[in-house]
Amino acid sequence: MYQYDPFDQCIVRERVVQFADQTRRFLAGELTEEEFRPLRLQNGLYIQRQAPMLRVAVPYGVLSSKQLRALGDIARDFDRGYAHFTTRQNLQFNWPKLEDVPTILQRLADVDMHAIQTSGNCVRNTTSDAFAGIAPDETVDPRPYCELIRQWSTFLPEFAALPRKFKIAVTGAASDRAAIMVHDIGIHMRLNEAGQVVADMRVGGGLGRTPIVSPLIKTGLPWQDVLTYCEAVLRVYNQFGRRDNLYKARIKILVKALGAETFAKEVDAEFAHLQGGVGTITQAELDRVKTHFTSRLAAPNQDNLPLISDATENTAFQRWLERNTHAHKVAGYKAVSLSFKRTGIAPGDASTEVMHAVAALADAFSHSELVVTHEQNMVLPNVRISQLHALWIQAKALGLARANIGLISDMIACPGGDFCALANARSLPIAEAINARFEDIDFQTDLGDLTLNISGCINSCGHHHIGNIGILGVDKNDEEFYQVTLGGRGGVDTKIGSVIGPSFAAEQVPAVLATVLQVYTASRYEDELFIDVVDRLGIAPFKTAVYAQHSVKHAMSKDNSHD
Amino acid sequence: MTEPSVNALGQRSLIVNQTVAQDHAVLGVNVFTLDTLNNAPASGFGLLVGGDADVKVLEPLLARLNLIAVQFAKVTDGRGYSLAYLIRNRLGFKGELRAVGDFTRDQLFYLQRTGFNAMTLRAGENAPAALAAFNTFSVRYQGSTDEPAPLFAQTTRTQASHVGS
Repeated sequence: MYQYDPFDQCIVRERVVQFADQTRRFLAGELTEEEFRPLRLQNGLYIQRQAPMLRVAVPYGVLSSKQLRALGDIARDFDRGYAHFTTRQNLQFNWPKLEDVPTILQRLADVDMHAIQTSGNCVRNTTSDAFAGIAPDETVDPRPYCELIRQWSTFLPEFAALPRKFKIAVTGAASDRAAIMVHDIGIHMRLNEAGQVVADMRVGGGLGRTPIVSPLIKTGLPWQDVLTYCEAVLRVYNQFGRRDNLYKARIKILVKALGAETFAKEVDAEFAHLQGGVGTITQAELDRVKTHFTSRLAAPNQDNLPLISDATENTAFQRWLERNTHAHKVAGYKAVSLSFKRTGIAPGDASTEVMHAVAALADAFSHSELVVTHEQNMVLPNVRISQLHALWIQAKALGLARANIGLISDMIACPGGDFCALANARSLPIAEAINARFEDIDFQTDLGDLTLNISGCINSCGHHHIGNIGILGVDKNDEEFYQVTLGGRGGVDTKIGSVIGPSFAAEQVPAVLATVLQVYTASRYEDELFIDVVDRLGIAPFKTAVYAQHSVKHAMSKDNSHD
Repeated sequence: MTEPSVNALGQRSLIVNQTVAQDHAVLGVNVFTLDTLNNAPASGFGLLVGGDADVKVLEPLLARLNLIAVQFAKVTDGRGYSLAYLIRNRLGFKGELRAVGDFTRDQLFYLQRTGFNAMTLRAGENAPAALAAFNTFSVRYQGSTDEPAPLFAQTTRTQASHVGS
């Protein structure tokens, strides 16, 4: 992974000094709340329901065991002994004290981490494929480009006060595991016919109130031009993005208003001034960054899995292998998902003890490296096949070996109304009720691959629009209701799900899902996935069954959450 | 009105307004807006524009101007940064480019980077601390008006052993 050099270290240390001064001035009354707000936001600090929430950047999800230990220490020393991994591969502390934040930032800087631009109307932390660098379907390792973007976007002076937040995702594989089509800029790195690395640039995707799958506005952009092209996109957006209405300020609205073609022309006109200029990525710089990501794996090997004599144990192990381990570019290795979707614990939450224990697993089994996934799990990217059983035993003891990756209980959920000041409704109790209802792993396994995404409000941090099943918390006359969408998906054929109808009360949600799943299991052909059945039948039969069996308990028959 | 204190710092001017930051009062009588341009002399005057000004409109006026003041209506409205970049890099304006309006010393680093060489700070801002804010960061990863080359084009980082403070 990328190792900071003195330049990188210098900038995070100077940031600590800057933010300590800003915090001091706020606490001393020299800065008003209104003046402090954009400053703290650009440092990932929200004032939430209970306490400030501090979001720490985990660049494209990659963490060292040392960093994870430090995060665990911070959770113990300044929070309530746990932290939360987000859908954007970051980490959040839910209970820090404002006056402790400069000290926390210093602790982060000590392990080459920061909270720079993890919120606010600026370029946010770049996300990527959790299996970057190891996926067999990858043609270009996106991580060096992510790191180049990270550096370029850090304290980007001209774009420090954009109309709205700005998120970039990069992938380099045939499959899209980074949801690039619902990002402000989605970059797909690939090889062209001549074998050169090029980028296909999508601009103007997003979820929220107006979910949009981004249009492709540039194909085959040479890798050298990625930063300057992003600069051109941002310059057009900074000048012409709407600033009069918070809900219409994202770049997707600008792209939609101009039309993708006109928008692309505007960007090209700006890019013409930058192309080939001094901001062009040099081979030397790419090479410098790339060396940090060069595989340190031992040579490919022909290791075999151990034979397990106990039949029950063997069944459980095989099931875990099937669901929680993933193919690796290098023979003899697997990537392993540690499931953070456990009964009784909020999706993505990790205690200090668990963070420390996972760091130890990374040291023992995966070259001290880990990846936080978009699905709020953690991946050990480089595990020798011969060590899988030993890892499984240890992960099981930590409660992180639930064989549910990609299954219904591997759901994505935002922190919701329990923590988030923006939320209309709670998401965690819904997640927990669904977990309890469908706890049986045999039942889950039989259902097969299915994504379930829960957002506590239309800001869509739980990405409900692109879940095969999406659940959105809405507020109606101060009561929490939940709207169900079906048919959404991420990936290369990203699609926004369709709302099936009026929303339900919290206690109805598990039973409503059970009805949806009954329609699926009754209608599927052998091995047909949930999403394929929804595509084949449309949402009508699901809708009919759901509203035949579950009454809508609020007066409004028409949902109005999209106003 | 108290005379503003002007601290020259290389090419930059930091103007700490001792009274309320009323742009016209600070900018003086020889400053016009696009609406009052008819009253302006042939040349040697200043123009006050908003962050949403169109560079194409400014271009034909440049030869007449010795000052362009860009109003930041709100600290969160960053259009002025791009406007400054374009005025310097696309139009090649060499005169005084002054930021006025809603910002604190926390934005000075960004303002100077994008091309402003004068900033009118609100009353009560601590001048020595504001001057120090120009040096908040000694590393600049990306190019902008002050230094067009990104860090990687300026130095061989693999051989870097010392970072200047």
